[in-house]
Amino acid sequence: MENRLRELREQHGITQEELAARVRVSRQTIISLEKGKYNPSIGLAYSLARVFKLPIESVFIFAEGEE
Amino acid sequence: MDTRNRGVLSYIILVLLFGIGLWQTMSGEVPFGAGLMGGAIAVFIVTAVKQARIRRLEAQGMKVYDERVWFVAGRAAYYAYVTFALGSALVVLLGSVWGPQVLVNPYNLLGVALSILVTLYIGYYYYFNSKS
Repeated sequence: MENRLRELREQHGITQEELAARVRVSRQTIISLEKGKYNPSIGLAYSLARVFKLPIESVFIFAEGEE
Repeated sequence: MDTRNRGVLSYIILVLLFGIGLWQTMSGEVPFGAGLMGGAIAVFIVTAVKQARIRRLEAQGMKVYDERVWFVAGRAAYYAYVTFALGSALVVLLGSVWGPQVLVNPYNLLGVALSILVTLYIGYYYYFNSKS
């Protein structure tokens, strides 16, 4: 699943550590999410979207055919 | 179980292992006892350093054992189990047909099996951690 995390984080001037602390995960998880290597749970996706005050679908792009 | 309880539990186990090592050394089993004590001390140092790092990260608001860690650990455990089960089945099958009859100490065998399983888990954990 693609996402706009890196772009949004940089727009908001937040570091990976700060974002990790805000959503209570490790920095490694933020790195993996930004690289598209890890798909978050619905709870984490919601928390991340809330940081940027956007709906989930504006942060995470779910392509057709993806499980 | 939270991070603090996990840390306390690992320290209790290490103290027990160190105690067994001391007892074995005093009973004359010096290589085994010294090895156990040395191992317990080494693991204690590594655990203490790791716990300090976890506390520092948690103080910054981060959660070290987050959902991704459990996802990776779950996959690693599953793949370690499957590899171990299939590997063991193959060894049992081939050994029963062509292998020689050997006497084994069951404790040694269990120890070897455990170390293979743990090594597989660690290997898979690092593999899946780098992949996700």
